[in-house]
Amino acid sequence: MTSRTAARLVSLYPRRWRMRYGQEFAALLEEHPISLKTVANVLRSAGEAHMQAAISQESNQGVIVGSVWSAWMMAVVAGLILYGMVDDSPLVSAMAQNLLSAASWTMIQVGCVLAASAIAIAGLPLGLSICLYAVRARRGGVYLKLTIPLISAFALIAWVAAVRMFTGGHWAASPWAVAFSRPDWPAESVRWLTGLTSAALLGFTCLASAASISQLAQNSQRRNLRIAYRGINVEVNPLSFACALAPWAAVGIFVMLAGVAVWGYSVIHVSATALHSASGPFGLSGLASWILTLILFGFAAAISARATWHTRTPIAGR
Amino acid sequence: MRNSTRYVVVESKAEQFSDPPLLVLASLIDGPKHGYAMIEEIERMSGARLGPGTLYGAITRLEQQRLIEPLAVEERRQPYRLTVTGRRALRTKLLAMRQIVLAGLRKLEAQ
Repeated sequence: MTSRTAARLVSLYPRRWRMRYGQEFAALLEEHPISLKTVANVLRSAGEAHMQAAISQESNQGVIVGSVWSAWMMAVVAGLILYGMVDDSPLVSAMAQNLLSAASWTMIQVGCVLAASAIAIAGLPLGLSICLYAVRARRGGVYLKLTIPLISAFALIAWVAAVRMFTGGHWAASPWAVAFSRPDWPAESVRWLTGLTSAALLGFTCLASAASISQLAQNSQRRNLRIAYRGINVEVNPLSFACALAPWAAVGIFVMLAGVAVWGYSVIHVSATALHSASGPFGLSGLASWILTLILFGFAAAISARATWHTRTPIAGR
Repeated sequence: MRNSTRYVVVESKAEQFSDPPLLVLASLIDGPKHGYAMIEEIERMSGARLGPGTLYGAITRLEQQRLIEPLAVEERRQPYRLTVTGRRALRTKLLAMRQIVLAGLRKLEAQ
């Protein structure tokens, strides 16, 4: 067949497939005489290549959404460690006296709002779509994965409430307070045991949430959501929509990371004693807690950055 | 390309029962080949003439699985060769097929 006909047939394949195999495939087609059978064969093969590309892209999008959610869970744990350390500590007054510390703290809050809003906006249609699928298809496994994070979060809240009730409202089983002692608090061994249980439940909640949301994003089937309002019809692919918001969430996590780095640096220079006297979870020093927070935010930022990079370079269409 | 109706029927049936990736691997046993040479070799071996789309579908999958690898381009033609993993995978598959063939023939002859 002519090179022009071959080029037309090659153009039916996905772009990334053409980039890899286009030239050599065109050369092979040129060695074949044009016939209905050859054209039909190429059409079928091009269709299969598009289907493969769509499947690869969908699976890639699932990985992206799962990665961003896992990064967010890591950022939540890091944020809790930081907040628990600063709350009711001498760091509050030290921050108030220094513009850089106060500004970087605001930066952390802005980053948190950015990432949380991206997660919420992306998560709502995706969650709704997965729920609709679970209800329509009566998939018990999907229900289970959806409820595991909720059940573990409920177990954590119930645990903290129960401990508080049993100690007459004096002790909240907080990992940040196990190293302190007050007359109305339980014995040290009880504080450590309950604090460790709270931390384990928090860790389990985040891990279970990251694992189940990642699996749901990657494996469950979803339907496009149709929104009709006053004559305007919009159809949304929830997974593509969530992927489009991944860079937004990543920016939020990066802003938090930068804020934490600047905040720690400024606090060390303004009032090193305030940082040292503050206490992190399980009696960790303020400095150690800050470093731990920085490492966790660093991992979260790296995971979200990788996911964002993949939204720009999807898996090759085959 | 053959033109006789009879051959087309035989050819399509042969392709229907063939495993294009396996045929591509088998065509590369005696050395690297480009697409057209693979089609010719496969036809010699099995009687099935793969269409260009089918051939490149198989090449795509095999390269993805690292069972074959491309060599330097020769006048727009891209030769491929078996990788060590590809040779091993092909041998395993052929040995398994031999067992199926022997068992199947024994059963057919026993009837």
